[in-house]
Amino acid sequence: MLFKLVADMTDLTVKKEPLDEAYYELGGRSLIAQYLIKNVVPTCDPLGEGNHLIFCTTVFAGTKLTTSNRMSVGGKSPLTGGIKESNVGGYAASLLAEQGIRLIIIKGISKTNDLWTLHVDSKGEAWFKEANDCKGMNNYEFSEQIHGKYGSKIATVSIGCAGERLYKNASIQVSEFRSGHPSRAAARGGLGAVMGSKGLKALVIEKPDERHQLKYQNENQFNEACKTLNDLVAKGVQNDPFHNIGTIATIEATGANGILPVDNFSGKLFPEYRKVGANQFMENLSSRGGKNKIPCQPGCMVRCSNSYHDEDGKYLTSGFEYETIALFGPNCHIADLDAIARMDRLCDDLGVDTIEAANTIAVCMETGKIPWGDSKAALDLLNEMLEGTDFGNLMGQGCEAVGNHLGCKRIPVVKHQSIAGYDPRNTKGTGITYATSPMGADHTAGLTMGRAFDDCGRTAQAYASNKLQVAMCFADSMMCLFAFTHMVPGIPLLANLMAGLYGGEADFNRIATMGVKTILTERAFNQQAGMTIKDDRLPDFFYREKSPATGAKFDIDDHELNVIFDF
Amino acid sequence: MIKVRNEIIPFREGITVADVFREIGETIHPTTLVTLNGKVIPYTKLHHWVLSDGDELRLLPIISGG
Repeated sequence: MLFKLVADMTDLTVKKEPLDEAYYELGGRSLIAQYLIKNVVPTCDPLGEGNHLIFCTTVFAGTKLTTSNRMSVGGKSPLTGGIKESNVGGYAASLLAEQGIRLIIIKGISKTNDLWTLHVDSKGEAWFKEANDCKGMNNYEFSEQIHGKYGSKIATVSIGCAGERLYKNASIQVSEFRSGHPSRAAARGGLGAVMGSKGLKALVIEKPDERHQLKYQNENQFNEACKTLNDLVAKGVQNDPFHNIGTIATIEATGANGILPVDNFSGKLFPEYRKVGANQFMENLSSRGGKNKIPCQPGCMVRCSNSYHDEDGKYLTSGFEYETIALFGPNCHIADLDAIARMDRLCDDLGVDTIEAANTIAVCMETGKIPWGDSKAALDLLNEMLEGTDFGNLMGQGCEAVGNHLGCKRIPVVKHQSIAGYDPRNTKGTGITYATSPMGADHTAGLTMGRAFDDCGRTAQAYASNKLQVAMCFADSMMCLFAFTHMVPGIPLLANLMAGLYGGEADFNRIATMGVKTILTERAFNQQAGMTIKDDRLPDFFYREKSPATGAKFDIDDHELNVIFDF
Repeated sequence: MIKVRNEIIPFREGITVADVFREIGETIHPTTLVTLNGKVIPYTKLHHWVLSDGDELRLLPIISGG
């Protein structure tokens, strides 16, 4: 039997109940979609008591499928005003799976100004613990305190002062397997603010004394399919730049072809991109005692994470990723990898989305508040968020709020959420994903770069985005996307996994339906929340301005965007 | 000799990365990283990059974003 925790912040009760049967064959993004459409009024105040914050594991959590212990966080987003699923690696989902817990629901709002943690102990008991001594504490100090008290067999899922201050760019940080660094981020959409609005500082999850045993309907069927899929991943990662280097490797591709955003999505090339690329990164790791090939969760074969050290060889940050580097780097005209690493550390500690924060810095540069390329000034602005100055608090409201305040004419947001590290004129399918995904401008929802014939052309871009968006919906319900990419030749076997674990036919329609139903449910939520087709568009400047690197504009016909989900 | 994937290509003076790709039937695509003895070669220089005897090339296609 699997369980859910229903935690009510209003009366501070936690109930451990059997998981609803309807949720057994759901997990991650698919579970969040079905839960929210049934239990949260789409027009509710995202920071009010009507919103629920949910944490869940994947459909295959607790099995031997590599990367299946991924966590999804969901709720109505205070940034987009629509449905949000934000997924994250780290140790927490693995421990929840060992506890037999698929879903944690946080409802209501604390009646007082007290702050709480939700603790799940080694016996499987869960309760709220008063945490007023942690008010204003940021994620590194919090994680160190908890690990110091309970040891290494524990995970933290926490907010920093950004979440406590209800910043719309607030993330939820999960501690990494082994290191305990709070560097894995459920970053997008401001769910950290939802957590803060409820008075919840953290989940603290202990490793159970007795591991929950999953009940397979046909364990041989499951294991056979699982072995084949895991073997595909093991083989694929040998030549995967994310395994061999890290996601920073993407800079080498995007920097050369105009997809890398430069100077607030000017569409130009950045000649110094290699200073923040793979070779510089590997050289810094090697000379300073850092490491790559780190798994953020037990059993991960991709191992894309890293530990990055400063010039003196001291630990600086981990989970140092392409998005952060691209957007704090070339998109701000900065070519200093160490400065960007400091920004990454600060964002993880304070608990903000690096994509949102970096785009905010870029609009500050575009409007002349600080000079292009001034990494010290950029760090000073991030410190304003840390200190909670007036401008820092405004930055916490996101890129669009700052852009409007400063009179910026080029604000790169969709559904109020900042665009990720791929210029949509030069990967048009990705641009279609940004525009039409119910998640807002989210690259993980369907990155078409390198997949859709000519990235700058118009042919089949909507087709590629449609297929990927549906695939990402079921992939985000099952595992990490980086592992999924290698399993593609064996995709039909996902149906064998479902049948082996939950019974029934090994029918791929169960998988495909999960993807289609999830995305249509998310769109229904957003429509009920008040979104229209006007929200499925890119900012105007992408349609008007040619990218100097390629000559391309975003010239996809509105009709293609309107019908993309007409299945 | 030049090592690439699991193949050995005979070395000859002036052989370039583009020559090797042609011999193994690969296309140079911007989303495939090429490393030479562990270091990434810039995409813009791949076509004319001259190799030395004993060099090892690896092709690392980028198939997702992060």
